[in-house]
Amino acid sequence: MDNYQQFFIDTIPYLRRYARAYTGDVLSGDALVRRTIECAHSLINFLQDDTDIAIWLFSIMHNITLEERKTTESHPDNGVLNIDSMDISLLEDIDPEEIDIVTALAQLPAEQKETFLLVSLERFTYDEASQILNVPIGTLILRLNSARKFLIKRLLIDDFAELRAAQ
Amino acid sequence: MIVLSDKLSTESFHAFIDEQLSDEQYLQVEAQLDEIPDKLEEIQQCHIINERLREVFDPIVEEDVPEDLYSLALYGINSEYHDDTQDFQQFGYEFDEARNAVTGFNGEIATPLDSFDAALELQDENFIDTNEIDANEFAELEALSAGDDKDLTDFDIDNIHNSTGNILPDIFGDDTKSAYGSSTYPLRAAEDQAILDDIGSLTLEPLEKDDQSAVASNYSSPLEQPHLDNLPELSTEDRADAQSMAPEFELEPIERTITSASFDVPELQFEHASVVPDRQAAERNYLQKQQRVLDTLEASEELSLEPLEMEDGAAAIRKSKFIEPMGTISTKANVPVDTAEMPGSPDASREFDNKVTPAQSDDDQFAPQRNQEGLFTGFASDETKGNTKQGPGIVSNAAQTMAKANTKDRLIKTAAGITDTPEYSVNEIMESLDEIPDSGEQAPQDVVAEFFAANKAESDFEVNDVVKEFEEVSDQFNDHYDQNTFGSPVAQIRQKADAIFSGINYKFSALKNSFVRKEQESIQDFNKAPSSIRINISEPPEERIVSTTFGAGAGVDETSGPEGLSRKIGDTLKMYKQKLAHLTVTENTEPADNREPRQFDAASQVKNYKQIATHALERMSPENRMTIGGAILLVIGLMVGGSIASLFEQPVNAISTDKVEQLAIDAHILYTQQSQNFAGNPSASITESMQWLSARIGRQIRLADVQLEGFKHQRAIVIPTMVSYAIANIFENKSNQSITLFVASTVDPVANSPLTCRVPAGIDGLCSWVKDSVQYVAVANLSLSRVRTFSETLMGNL
Repeated sequence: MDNYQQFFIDTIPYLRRYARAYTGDVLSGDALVRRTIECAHSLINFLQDDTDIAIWLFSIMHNITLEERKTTESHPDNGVLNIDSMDISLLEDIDPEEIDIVTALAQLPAEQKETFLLVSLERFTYDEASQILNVPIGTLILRLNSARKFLIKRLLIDDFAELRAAQ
Repeated sequence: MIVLSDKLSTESFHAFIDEQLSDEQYLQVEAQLDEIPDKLEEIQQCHIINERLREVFDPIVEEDVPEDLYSLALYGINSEYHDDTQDFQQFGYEFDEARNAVTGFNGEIATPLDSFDAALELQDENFIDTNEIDANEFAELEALSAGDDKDLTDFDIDNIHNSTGNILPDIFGDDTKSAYGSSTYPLRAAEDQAILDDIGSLTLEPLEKDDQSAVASNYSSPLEQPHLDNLPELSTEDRADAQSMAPEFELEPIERTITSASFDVPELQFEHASVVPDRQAAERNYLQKQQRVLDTLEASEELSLEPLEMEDGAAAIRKSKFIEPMGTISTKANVPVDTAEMPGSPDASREFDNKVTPAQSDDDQFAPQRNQEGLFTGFASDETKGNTKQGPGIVSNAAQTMAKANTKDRLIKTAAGITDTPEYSVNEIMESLDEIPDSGEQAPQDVVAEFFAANKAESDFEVNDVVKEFEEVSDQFNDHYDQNTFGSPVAQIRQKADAIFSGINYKFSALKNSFVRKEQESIQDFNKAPSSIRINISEPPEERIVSTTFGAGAGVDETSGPEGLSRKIGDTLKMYKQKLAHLTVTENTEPADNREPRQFDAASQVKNYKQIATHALERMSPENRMTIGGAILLVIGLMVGGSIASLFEQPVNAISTDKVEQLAIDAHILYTQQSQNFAGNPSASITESMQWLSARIGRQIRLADVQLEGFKHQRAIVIPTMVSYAIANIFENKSNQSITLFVASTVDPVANSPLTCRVPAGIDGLCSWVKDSVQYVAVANLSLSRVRTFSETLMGNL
């Protein structure tokens, strides 16, 4: 495929958005994007002409995160950034409201989180998201349902949210 | 594609939230949702969460992409390693952004793709060939090289000089150089040894000088400097006492410089110096400067490099100027003569106390010279007294009394402070003040105070002003540097220079030591060792011709050898080369000196080497001899032991027939009873497996694939025997009875053995035979007769 570099450059902002939402901070997100681009350069010869490069790149990123989850399976964080255990200095430039959504996302299981982010944040269709995640649509819908219920409970219904609303 | 049902599904619910429905489906789901108000609230909550999520993360899309990510997306992983401009810049080329190309010296443009190769090509094109270079470009280096007949490889590190002289310390000394310069090359052994002894005695000199200069430099700062001589109230005896109380000053040439420069001499001069004060001042300056230079040179002979040598040269020039007006320059031998001539004229003796005769003034002018001569023996005043006493003792009593009166008069005048008041011009004082930085070890105000204290002169108004002004400045100067523990800048610079020069000298001495050591070794080896074999050698004339032509071929010219064995790298290397290549020439030429024809042949060379070996052994310490002897014994022991061991050697690979039979039993038990779990090579026929084995062992094994009593070849398994190649062929019949034919090759040839059958433990029948160093074992849980029949059938097929 010719001029794929331009597609890469066009997709990078969306990759960065997804990666930052997934990892929870800038540096880890950009590192994930960098690894994705490197991997994509090495795999560019396997890219079919009819493939959507954005979906392809997101699937590469998903596979990278999948590998990381496997290697860090025994880790107490389970490969997912735990905001509560992080140094608070990393969160200095984040709004309190943002901390809520970021914290809630960090507490989501990784599969639910990436499904929710692909659908709600990146606005992929269910077909595209199922291609990216390599899961059937039914599984996708179940994960999406679980993620949304968790987030609603965490952000809008729990006691902490009520306290915050009272303030 | 979302398929909707009558009841609201989870899929359609989320698809409604995510707006992934067509318009018809949207309306349909909306109608369904109206019936379930709880879901409406949930949808609102989901929208809230989506909005929050996008509020937080959507601005990231608007951010600028980081530079590294951008370049990575554009150029890939290797983008930073394929920066062609960097490759070019290290060759001196530049990257022209306008043309997007790399330009070289000659304006050629290299494409970025083949940048490195192009750069190398361009570099080759622009390579400066020293053979084709213009002579002017290396004119300096050629001028610096030692001789005209030497090229740059023979660059002499000793003779690097500029117009003012040698700029490097002559660490080997002129004596050694001249000694080497007079000798021809190659040197004879005795001459060599003498020269080398010379050099060996000189090796430690630079280091000793370093220590001395280091000690001297400790006293060179004005803070630590005791200015005994600058105390005006001290008389001569007091100073002598002080000097004796501080005996460590005797060791320091620089200290003596100060004492001699400032002590008695100016008093002697200016007491009578009314004739030509300007010239006297100039002479005194010259003498003091010369004395200082001499002392400094004495203290650090080779540490003093260009500046001091230049001063020395200038002093030499000045000296030649002063010879004529001064008449005879006084040395120690001249002093009595002068004093003897002086009383020889009656006018001079008569007018001695009242007037100053030219001879007297000359004598006084020579006082510093005498002081200079007596630097290392004692104090200046003592020297003056001794000279004046000694001289009249030789010549006449009149002269003695006159000289005594002369000195006594001076001493009385000094003690009483009665002096004539000579008129000093400001220029003269300024000239003497100009000397202050040269003295280095004296603070400026001390020089001034010494100047006036020594002369006991009441200076006039102008001089007072100048001195006062200068003292203020010098006080400031000293106050500033009193706080500085590192001394004055002059001392700092001098210390640094000393350190640098000592480092240079150390390196040079190390270099020289290594040269000397190598030369000693080589000369011992090549010149001394063969000395005893010159006696009984017959001369085949052909070999003489061969050796001489060989010597001439390498360009050794003994008569026009290098001028002196200067210790330079090129010469040393050349000397080794020549010594190695023209050992024969050395052998042949030395007999010519002894008028004794000698030849060089193979026998002599063997003897030569023997001599060298014995010589080397003799030079060895006993411990080294023990070590080498032990090593030789060890080697001999290893050789003998290895040869003895080889007699009893058995191939490690040896495998016995019993071992093969045991392997066959194991294979049969393993592979026939666990056949289902084991994946052999089911498609292989017995022919194929034999072909495989034949290819491995290099011999042809033919085993026909025949029907043997209903047994059919099922599979072949390669058995790891750790030794050679073995194959277990498993035959089965329709009733699942199995026979294993184990074929094993042996490394060493084994004698053929006939068919032997037995019943080992756990197996009903085993037959084994050997043919062509290949052992065949048939194992089966069948009756021995059936196995034997099977085996015989196979044997018949072989």
